[in-house]
Amino acid sequence: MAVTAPDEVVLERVAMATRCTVRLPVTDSATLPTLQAAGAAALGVLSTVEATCTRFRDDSPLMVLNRAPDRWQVVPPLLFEAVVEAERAHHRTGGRFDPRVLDALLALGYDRTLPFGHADVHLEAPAAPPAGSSGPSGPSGPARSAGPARSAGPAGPFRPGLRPETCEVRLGRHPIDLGGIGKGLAVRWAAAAVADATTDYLVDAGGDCACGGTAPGGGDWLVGVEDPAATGTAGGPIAVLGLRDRAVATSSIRLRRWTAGGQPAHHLIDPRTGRPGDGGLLAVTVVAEDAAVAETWSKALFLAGHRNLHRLATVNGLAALAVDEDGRVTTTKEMDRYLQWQRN
Amino acid sequence: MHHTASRHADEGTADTTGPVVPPDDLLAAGDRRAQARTLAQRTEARQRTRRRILPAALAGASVLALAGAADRFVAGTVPAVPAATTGVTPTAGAASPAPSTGTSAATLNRISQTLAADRRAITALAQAQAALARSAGGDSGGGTGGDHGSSSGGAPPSVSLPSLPALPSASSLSVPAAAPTTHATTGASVVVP
Repeated sequence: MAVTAPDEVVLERVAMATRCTVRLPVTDSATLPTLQAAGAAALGVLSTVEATCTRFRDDSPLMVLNRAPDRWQVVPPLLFEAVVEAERAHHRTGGRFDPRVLDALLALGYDRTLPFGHADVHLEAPAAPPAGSSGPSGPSGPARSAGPARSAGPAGPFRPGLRPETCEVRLGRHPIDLGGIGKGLAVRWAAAAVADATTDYLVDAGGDCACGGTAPGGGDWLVGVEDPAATGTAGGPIAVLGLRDRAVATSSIRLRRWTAGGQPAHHLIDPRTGRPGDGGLLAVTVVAEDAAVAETWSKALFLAGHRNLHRLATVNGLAALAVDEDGRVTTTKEMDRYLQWQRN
Repeated sequence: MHHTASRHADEGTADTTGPVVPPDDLLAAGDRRAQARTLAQRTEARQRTRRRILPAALAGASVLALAGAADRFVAGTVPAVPAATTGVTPTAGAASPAPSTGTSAATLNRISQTLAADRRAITALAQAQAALARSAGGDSGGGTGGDHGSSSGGAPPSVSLPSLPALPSASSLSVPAAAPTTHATTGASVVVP
């Protein structure tokens, strides 16, 4: 659906199971057709990334790759690049971002799109992870009482085999999930699709945003940070960021949480334990130059927990905002320059 | 886009790319140092607050003390019976009890003197507070001290206040306001089934 306002083009679509929006300020009405075409192309990129990298369709290129992860397979260029970026993110975050969490998610019952936010999600006690899906060391320590089977994360760094000349990939022992980087990559590539037409844009895929240039009127793009402790849509943002040529992403457990066998679970898996991260945080927001970088760091910082988050963010010069389980908001110094407003 | 060179998958190989994540024990040590710095900063902040507030408090207290001293001075030196030229020099605490017929009058006289001294002290304190408010950026247009509550008696005790750090003007203070209208929201991505 395209809604053309006097000062911007706004296009929306559902992709990656979430609402996606492209906003392009209009300074010259003669550029309207060009902007509309660029916006449509950006939305098309989002849909293409979803079709290629989703794990919720058995015939997606990612799931075909996952069926035989230890074999060389030809993949589409977009998937090849996604695997490359996932490896980069893995090393950039010191292993805290690890795409090899698919088995853990499946073990917790998250094997399909679930109605998060529309109804409480309760899943039966999941089956044991597929044979060989645990790391070489097998489950570590005694299983938690009455909870889903615990499995240690994969041992060793994520180093997929890559043959760029032939677009071949060999993942290794474990299948992968690109949910922790896919939206960021989609936003990055969608933003690239409009860059030829304009330097002023906002591409938003479910809250992962790339903000180029200026908003209508010439100021910064203003992005609200959701309050993860709020119920429903009440309460308003806890902060508003002013962004220009920056991207922002949030890792949050406000919606994607469920019970599996009566035990609480959420989608942000700690690769070291194979379990949902329990560092005492509800959400982490990161501003970076790139959406995929912002997304992977937001997840890595979430998994670092409130005790280690600020040290990790400071060491890496990250602009981060965290909300802990008590609703307390903390920010790094680098985030201060983006804060336009903050709730008391 | 940059493509990595071809290589084989090799799980289990030690990561040699150089960590960007300090080990947890170093992180914990860093946390302890950060906590110590935070504690030192808080202590310094409290000391700064004391340095800022204490002079004014001391000034006020000194004014009241002076008022008390003035009261004692008045009580000690004002003769029980009005007559300052009898040649008798009373000493502190040595004033003879007034004759019973003049006790009530003398007492009332002392009370009125004390009250007058108290009023002068209160006036001086108010003037000091007004001066402090003016130094904080108020634009009441008031001039120097002496415009408020002028005493009817003698000159108020002079109080020299220490110089106080300038306070931020009200316009520079952040006032809670409603969140501005946003172009997007980042948070948990809404699931559209």
